[in-house]
Amino acid sequence: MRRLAALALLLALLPLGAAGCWDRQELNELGIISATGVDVTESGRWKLSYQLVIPSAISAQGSYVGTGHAPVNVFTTEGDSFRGAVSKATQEMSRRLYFAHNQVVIVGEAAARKGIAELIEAYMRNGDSRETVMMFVTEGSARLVLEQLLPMEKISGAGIVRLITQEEKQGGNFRQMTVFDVAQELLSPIRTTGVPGIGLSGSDEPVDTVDAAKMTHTGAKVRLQKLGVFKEDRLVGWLSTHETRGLMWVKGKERETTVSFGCPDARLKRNSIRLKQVRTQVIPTRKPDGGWLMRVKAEAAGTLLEYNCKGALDKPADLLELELRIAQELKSDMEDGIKASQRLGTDLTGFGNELRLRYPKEWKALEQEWNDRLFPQLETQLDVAVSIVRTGRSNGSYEQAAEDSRGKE
Amino acid sequence: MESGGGNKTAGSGPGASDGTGAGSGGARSGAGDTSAADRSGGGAEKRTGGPLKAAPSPGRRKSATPLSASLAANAQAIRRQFGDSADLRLRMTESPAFPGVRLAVLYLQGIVDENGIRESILDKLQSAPPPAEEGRRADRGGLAEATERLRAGVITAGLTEPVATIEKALDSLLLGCCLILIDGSGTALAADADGGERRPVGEPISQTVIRGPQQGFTESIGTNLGQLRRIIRSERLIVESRRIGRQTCTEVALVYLKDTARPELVEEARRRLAAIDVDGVIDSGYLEEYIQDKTFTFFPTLLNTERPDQTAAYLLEGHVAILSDGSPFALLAPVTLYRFFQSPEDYYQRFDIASFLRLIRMGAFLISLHLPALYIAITTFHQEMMPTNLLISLSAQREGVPFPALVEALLMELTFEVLREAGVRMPRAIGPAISIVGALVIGTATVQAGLVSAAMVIIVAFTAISSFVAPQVNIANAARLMRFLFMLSAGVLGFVGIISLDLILIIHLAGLHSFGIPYLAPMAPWVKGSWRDTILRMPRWSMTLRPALARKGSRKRQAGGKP
Repeated sequence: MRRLAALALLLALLPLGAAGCWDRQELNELGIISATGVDVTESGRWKLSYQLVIPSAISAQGSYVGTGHAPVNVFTTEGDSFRGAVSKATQEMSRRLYFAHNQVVIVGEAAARKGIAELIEAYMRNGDSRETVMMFVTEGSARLVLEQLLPMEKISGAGIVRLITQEEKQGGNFRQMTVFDVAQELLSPIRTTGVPGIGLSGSDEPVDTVDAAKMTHTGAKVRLQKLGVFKEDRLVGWLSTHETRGLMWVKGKERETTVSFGCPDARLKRNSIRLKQVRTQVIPTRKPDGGWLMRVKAEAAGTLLEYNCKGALDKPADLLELELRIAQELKSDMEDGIKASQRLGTDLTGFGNELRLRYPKEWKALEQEWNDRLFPQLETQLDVAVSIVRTGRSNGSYEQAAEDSRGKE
Repeated sequence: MESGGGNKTAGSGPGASDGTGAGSGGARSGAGDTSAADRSGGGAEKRTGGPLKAAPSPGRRKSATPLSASLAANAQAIRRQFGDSADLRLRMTESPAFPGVRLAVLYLQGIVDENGIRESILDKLQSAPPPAEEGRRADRGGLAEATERLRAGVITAGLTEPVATIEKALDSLLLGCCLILIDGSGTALAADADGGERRPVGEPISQTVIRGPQQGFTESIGTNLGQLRRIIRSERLIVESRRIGRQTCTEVALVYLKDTARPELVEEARRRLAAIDVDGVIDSGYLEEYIQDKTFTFFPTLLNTERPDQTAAYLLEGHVAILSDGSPFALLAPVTLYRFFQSPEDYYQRFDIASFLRLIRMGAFLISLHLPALYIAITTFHQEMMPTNLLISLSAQREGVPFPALVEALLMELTFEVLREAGVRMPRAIGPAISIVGALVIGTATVQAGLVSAAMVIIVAFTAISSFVAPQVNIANAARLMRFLFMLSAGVLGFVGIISLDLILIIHLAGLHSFGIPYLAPMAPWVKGSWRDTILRMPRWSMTLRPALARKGSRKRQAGGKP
């Protein structure tokens, strides 16, 4: 009996050894991909570029300067379908492509104009390439961006993630959009979204060699610029960084940003304030003539960073006047954003969604021509309030103080 | 002189039971109801003094030959039994108390206190006053009377006892007695002269504490029991002594606190001890294997300790302790899993740090069990679980490593086990060599040679350190063995393997018992109020109840309440 039990146990354990190790994948058999680029060929086939991390070049002490090896390697495969292109990588890559740590997907302009539905499908369906990957669009070829090295980062894919994270937290011009976010916004009733653009700026000299790090400055720089505007699943146009920030305020996605403003009757915006968004509220209202009016109430609070105008900031009246001036500046920023959005005929403001929530019945009639006809003509009323929480360590401006001291003599 | 007479006289001693050993031994070899016979026959005795009083091991002597009247014949018989062993000493002497009668003093050199024999036996014999006139009759009656007088009034050794059989004489010699043979008498005298060189009480080497008592048990059971008695000065501290081992005849003491330990528990411990029939008990580890609940488990169901303070604390909570002569380790029963992560020092330090340290110990145990397995599972199956930078760093280290992570881990763990064993077995003088070789060979050279990755060395090292945290070596050893199972299952099935094995382990633990107490108590089954001293240690004044294993109605141990 006992012998029988032992035999049964042995038989039960045997398949473990056979089944196991099947999915075993040693670390040094993996080709870790940190960023993917999506382009199209002229014939319309997908051209996928992969930024492959070379661990041994990275792990050595110090930055990539030390080893003299490039920390990443970029290569490209082509295919009619997304995963079809990926599968061709085996023909030229000795390791299994490992997408779980892919953090960035950059879509070239041509590909973006062709449509990103297939990309979203590929990222949503597969477990290894995740929909939490951050998406960017670039005006040129995506592969070119992947080839660039970032001065402070060993892996440029991860560096781009840090770039957008910092921008969202500190700069306030762009926010990160994952593939999931993009899909969600494109599936929303207004079917539009904005994807941060990434591109090269500076000189034409690309930073795609380790030697570039031997200099104290780099030629081309990877830079977040413009907002790729998507309607349905296609890129339809670009918004400038300034307009994008205006939209961030309208959508209530702004975290913290620095706003410059001028003195009364001055051309240059010589003053600045660090503003935090407190609240933004969008209230759609029906006008007596049957049209729609969007009332946007925005509140912001901030710390004064620079002040070069007249006026004593310890006086409530002067402070109030200043707050109104900043609010006016902010309001014009927001208006720029809304106008640019209306110009493209894409509701990046999310007004359509607000309208749908408040007036679901009416929305049904509006939905079809919202982006093309109704939204561009939409009337808006902005109501911006700014409060200065801290004026910093001085009251009046230094210029004022200098003037006062001259007056005393 | 028949053996019955011997029995009668021996019976006069307090709690003595000469002859039951032989009797029950006969029962053992004959009938099947050995345990019943042992129990009812008083296989265990209350320990009242010298080695004589503990019952000899069952089945040790199968016959009882009466001593003859001739001293020469008796001495000859004893000598022959000992095969003329060199350590058997015989000294002829005379005493004024027995005019004209030859006396012989026998003892085994080394296990007796020779100075003591000289002072309390030989000197006394030679200076004993002559008997009164009527006692001079050299017949047996007179001799018996003189012998009794000798026992009662002359010999000043701690304990004396008449001996009537050769076997009893042999036993008493072996137990460290000095045997006085009287020519013409069939009764000899055995005087306790237990002594000889012993290790003095020292620090417990295996369980050190920073704060708390610094003395440990020694190899001498008398000393050990004394240490316990010194801590618990109560007549309720009961010591039941017995001899186990056909050849070694080792004294084994069952110690408990009357009215606190459950009678069922004591009875069960008695029964298990009585059932042991072995030719030798060298260490309490021998006993542990016989009395533990389950043999085929990695987990110890008895706790061994070198510390009298810990033993006393357990006794106060209603546990029983089993001490064995020759072993500085007492066995404590019953124990639960959580006990193995408690150090006696927990109670001597502040409760907050004690609680923290207990958590650390349990955490370290889990780490020492799982860490290499987790590493294997994550690096070979679940790479997506790592942060990217860690993955890249690990993958850079593995670049060029020739073996799969599982092989790498097994290799390193085995190397460590070999080094560790070498460190334990090596003579002290060459000990440092081990650390040099260990540090250089595993630490540096293998990594530099690209045989294993640096991360693996860190993993193995941290696992090793974690396994040294456990206050009980027992439980660390359990983790040591199971670690390999975990590594294998992680290498085969990844996290699924680890979790499956964890489940099997928990089921196994839930099924374990220690002397009738569930091994996972008081967590499973949950015992209300016991949490105060399980994973955490609450302030002493708040622990008003003894653990649930204590006798019903005696759980309250203090008034309680904040002082």
